[in-house]
Amino acid sequence: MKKKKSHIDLGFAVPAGYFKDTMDRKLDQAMQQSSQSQASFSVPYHYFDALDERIVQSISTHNKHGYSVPSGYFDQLENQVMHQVKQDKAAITGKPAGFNTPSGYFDHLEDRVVDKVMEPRVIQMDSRVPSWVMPMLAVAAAIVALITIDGLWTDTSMSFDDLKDEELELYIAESNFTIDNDAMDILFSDNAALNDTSLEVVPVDNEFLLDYLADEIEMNQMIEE
Amino acid sequence: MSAITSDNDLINLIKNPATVDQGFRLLVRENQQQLYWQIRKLVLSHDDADDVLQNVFIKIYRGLPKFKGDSKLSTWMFRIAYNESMTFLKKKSKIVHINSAEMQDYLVQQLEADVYFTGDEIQLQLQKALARLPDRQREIFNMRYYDEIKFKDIAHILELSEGAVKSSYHIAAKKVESYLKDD
Repeated sequence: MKKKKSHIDLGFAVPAGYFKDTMDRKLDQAMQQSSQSQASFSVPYHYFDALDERIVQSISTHNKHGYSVPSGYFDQLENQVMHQVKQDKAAITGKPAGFNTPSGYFDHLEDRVVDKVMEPRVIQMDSRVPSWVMPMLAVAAAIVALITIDGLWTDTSMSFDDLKDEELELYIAESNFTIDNDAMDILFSDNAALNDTSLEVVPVDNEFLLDYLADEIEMNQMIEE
Repeated sequence: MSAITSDNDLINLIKNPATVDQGFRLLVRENQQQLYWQIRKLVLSHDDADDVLQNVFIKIYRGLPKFKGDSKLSTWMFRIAYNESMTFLKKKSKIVHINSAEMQDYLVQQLEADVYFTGDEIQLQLQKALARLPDRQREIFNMRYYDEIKFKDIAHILELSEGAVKSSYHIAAKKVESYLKDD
């Protein structure tokens, strides 16, 4: 590779000592600027005279282990801890982010639950009989009642066939025959639908009945545990 | 679960006619929030959660005299809440003639307009992802992710093997992750 020509080769030259003098000049200039910039700062009068004493005093006010806390730390500590506790409490109760409840919901929940659970007389079923038997007996009794009272009413404006399967399913699912007086009232009221005895030949969907029985048995087993 | 009152003390209070009111109030007070959020995570809507919670406490009240203490009271109540929530969702599905998966989609759609849901887009996406899980996987994911219940305890609550719970959670987490990445 051909050697690159230097400025000397090209005939250029600088005065003797040019670079040394230039560097000295630059350094002098920089020192001067630095001195000027420091001059714009100042410290209080006798600042350095008392500095060592203040440092010692500052150290002595720390506790014997040498630890210190930020100014006002303990003033804010209670609020910070309570905030953290609230967050932890939310986490402990498994509250998912974004889900809320109406204001004051939990304040009144206890009263609402106790009122609902304890005011009405709770019918205790005989423990020897599985709980799912009673609703089924009630359904059977209703069917027998329907057959028995056939002919007492002459109003045939509505037939049992008019009821859709899902309406029957819903009625059975939603009704608790053992304690629901309203349901019993409907069953034994002057209801035109009861005039039609085709009930016994209109089977309720087997799949639904099996699901219903499975649910009841599962709950019963759990409660028995 | 009763951090203040032990299971035995609570049950004895409730079984004693003289202190039944006091005991049951204590039980409700100490467990209402935990049970509510467990149910809410399954049924999503506040109104539905409120209905189910009331039924759960009724069942707890009726079942307590027969509670033998084979498991912790909290575990027993957890199971009742889970079963009651599932039964509620099944009934609701039947009413509107949709299957379980479609019901979950429906619930999440409702969530977007729910005044008691103020989650951001990510939280909504998480709910959409959870809606696509089978019931069991969703419940296991909720218990582990939100409630931080140990696998061993989840297995006990749901009466499954610990291995089954772990694998269900793993699969559920993978599905959720995949849904969130793809969407």
